[in-house]
Parts: sequence; C-alpha cells; structure tokens
Amino acid sequence: MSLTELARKKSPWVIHVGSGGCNGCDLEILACLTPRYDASRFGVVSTGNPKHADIMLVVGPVTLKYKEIIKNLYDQMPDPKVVIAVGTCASTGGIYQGCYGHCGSVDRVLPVDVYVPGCNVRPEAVIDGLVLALDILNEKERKILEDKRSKAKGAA
Amino acid sequence: MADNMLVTYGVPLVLLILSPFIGGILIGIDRKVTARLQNRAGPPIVQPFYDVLKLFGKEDKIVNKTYLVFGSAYFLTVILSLGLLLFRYDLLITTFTFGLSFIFLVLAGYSTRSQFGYVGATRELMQMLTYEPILLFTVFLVRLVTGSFEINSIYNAAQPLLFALPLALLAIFVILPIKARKSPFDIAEAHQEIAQGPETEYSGKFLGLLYLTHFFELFFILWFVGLFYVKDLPVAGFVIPGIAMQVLLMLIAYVFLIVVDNATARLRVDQMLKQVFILGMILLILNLAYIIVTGRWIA
Repeated sequence: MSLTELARKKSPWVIHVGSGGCNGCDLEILACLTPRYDASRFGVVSTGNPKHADIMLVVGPVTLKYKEIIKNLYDQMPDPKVVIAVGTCASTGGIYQGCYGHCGSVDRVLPVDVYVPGCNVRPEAVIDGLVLALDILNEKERKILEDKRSKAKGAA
Repeated sequence: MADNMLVTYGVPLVLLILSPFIGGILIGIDRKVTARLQNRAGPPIVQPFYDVLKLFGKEDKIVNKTYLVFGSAYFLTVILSLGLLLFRYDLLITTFTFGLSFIFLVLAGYSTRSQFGYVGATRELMQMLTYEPILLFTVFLVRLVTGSFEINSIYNAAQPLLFALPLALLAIFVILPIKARKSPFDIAEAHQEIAQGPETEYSGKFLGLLYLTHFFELFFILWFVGLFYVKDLPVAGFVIPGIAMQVLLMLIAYVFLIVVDNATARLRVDQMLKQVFILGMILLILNLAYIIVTGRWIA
C-alpha cells in the first residue's frame, strides 16, 4: 500500500446530505460524532462542502425537487468519491416507495457504493459502512488510474 | 569562522525545513487534546499529515486560474516571512510580508466568485483590520526598546524583551487566536456558517497547499512570541539557555491557544473589532507610558 493510499484510508472527509427523509437517520449520523461513538478517531471530519469531501452520506429518499441538487453536489466532489446510502429509505425507498413526490431510492439518481439499511440506522452501522467505504475509495482510485493509463496507451 | 557560519545559517535552515512537521504535529496534538477534553478518543496525532497527503492524491476541480495563483502566493509569502524571521532579518519587513500573505488569501477568496469565499474574504479583511495595527504598534515598541528593527538586536539586547514590554506581549496574546484562526476569532473560517471561507472553492492539491501553509503559519506565530524571551536566565547556579526560554514561551502560547479555543464560543465580527482593538490598544499605550517613564527607550 502506498503512502497516499494509507493517508486516504486514514482521513475520510464526509459530507452529509439530507435529501428529504424524516430526519431520524440524520440524528443518528450526528450521534456518530458524539463521545460515545466518536467517528473522528478514524479521521472523519464533517465538512459542509462538497469540494473538500471524499464520502457522501445520503439520508432519505430523493424527492423530485432535490434530484438536480444532489446530482450537482455529486458532480462537485473531486475523485475518488464514494456514496453511502444511509437508512432504509435511501437504500430501497422504504415507506416512500411509489410515492408521487419521490424518485425512490438514491441509486436511481447516483451510483451508490455502500448501503446501510435500518430504520433508524444504528450509529454502529453507519461507522461500519464508513469503514467499508474506505476500501472502495482506494479501489476506485486504482481504477481511475488504470483507465487513464489505458487511454494514454490507446492514444499513443 | 566555519562554525559560526553553521550556527547563523545552518540552524535557521534546519528549522525552516522542520517547521511544517513541527506545525503539523502541534495541530495534531491540539486536535487530540481537544478530543480528550470532550471525553472523545480523538484522531491520531499525525492526522494533519494524513489529511495533507490525501489531499495531494485527489483530483483538482479548478474554478479559474486566478485563485490558484493567489493561493500559491499565499503559500510562498508565508514561507518567505518565516524564512525572514528565522534568518533574523528586519522585523518590520517580516511583519509586513506576513500581512501580505493574508492579503493574498483575501484576494483568493474574492477571485473565486463564490458567495462563501466572498463573505469569508470580507471577514478575513476585518480580522486584518483588527490585528495588524496592534502587531505593528508592538513592532514599533520593540524598535523603541532595542534601538533597531533588526531581529539580531533583540538577541544582542541587555535584557529580554519581556521585562520592557510585558503588556505588549499580553496584547500579542490577545490577537494570537486571530492569527492562528482559532475560536473565539475563527470568524473567517466559521465552517458551520460559511463553509470554509476563502478556502471554500479549493480542492485537491491546492487545498493541501493551503493546509501546509497553516502548519508554517502556526510555527511563525509561535516563534514570533518566542522572541520575547531569548536571553539566558541564571537560576540558582544553573544557566537556562536562551533557546530553552524561547521554547518555553512558545509552549505557553500554544497551551494558551488550546485552552482559549476550547473555553470560548465564536464572536461576531463587530464584537471582535471592538473588544480586541480597544483592549489591545489600551495595553500597548500603557506599555508605551511604562517605557517612557522608566526611560528604557532608545531614540
């Protein structure tokens, strides 16, 4: 493992996006930062800024009005990036399934990498999902580099 | 002669190279101590280095070229001012160069055309308006006591600066959290309100560069405070060397920063301007009166 990959595993910066749920899972994510669960011991920093973030925590089903905004936020994040769907609503649509104002689950709008189901999710589950996402970050970066290399070869 | 050259140029050079590591470790310890005070485990002490390394391995999302130039200029001017300070150049020029670095950060914030950057840059300007007169006034008082703007004259003076300028040091302590961007004066980077202020639009390598700059900055301000006691202190037969006293003063300033950061909430811009400016100026004027009355000044 190179130094950059180690550093990437050690410092995941998180942006927390509520896309129109009931706020139950939002509170559980905030509980991750409290002394009892303390996600910051893994280097997690909650930034409110997509340009600094590595991991996007999406909570709740995506409403029709929020669809464009969440796409915009995703596009602003620099690579490598990971999306975690937190809660049953974000993973599958939950009780909002088939509702007229919603697109349903997050994976209909964005490519989701980790699903953390639960209603509400436990903070432990959120931390588990974060740790899973760290490996995916490095895998994604390797893939991006490989694509670049093969493209350069194709051009030459 | 060769030995003398080694001390005058070698030691500052080594310090300049080590300063990002020292600054980073200090920031890491700060985060750990803050976490322990809040009964959390907290990130490892080397966390700032992980952050910077990670940022250097990320994609750059570039908005325009101007703000990259200003960000790099900010980085270079901070290193330049730290170099001037360590190589014992003119104190006035050092202070102005350090002020210039803030100007570059403000320009970087304005040139991104993002409202967060704009608000952050305006607040950064207000902070400069608050601390810069106090800092310059202190430098003029140093000139009054030592007879020269050269930093060497502080080292060559008969007495350490602390005995002549105790209240000026207190004024420096008051503006210390502004320069270190810590609570109660972390107004420009109030991340709960305005994202990250001037740094909002940065990402990838250039954000990493700004983080590195903060390491240099922390070391600069601590070393500046350390200048107030650079003479040997004889205690009961022993002689504590000047560099040890300087490091001790730097440590005091550092602990002060952590305590104040954890004990206070963020102020508004106008509150900061009123309280810091009035308090700092009163302290400095009292110190000026003290110097004139006791006849310590050199024209």
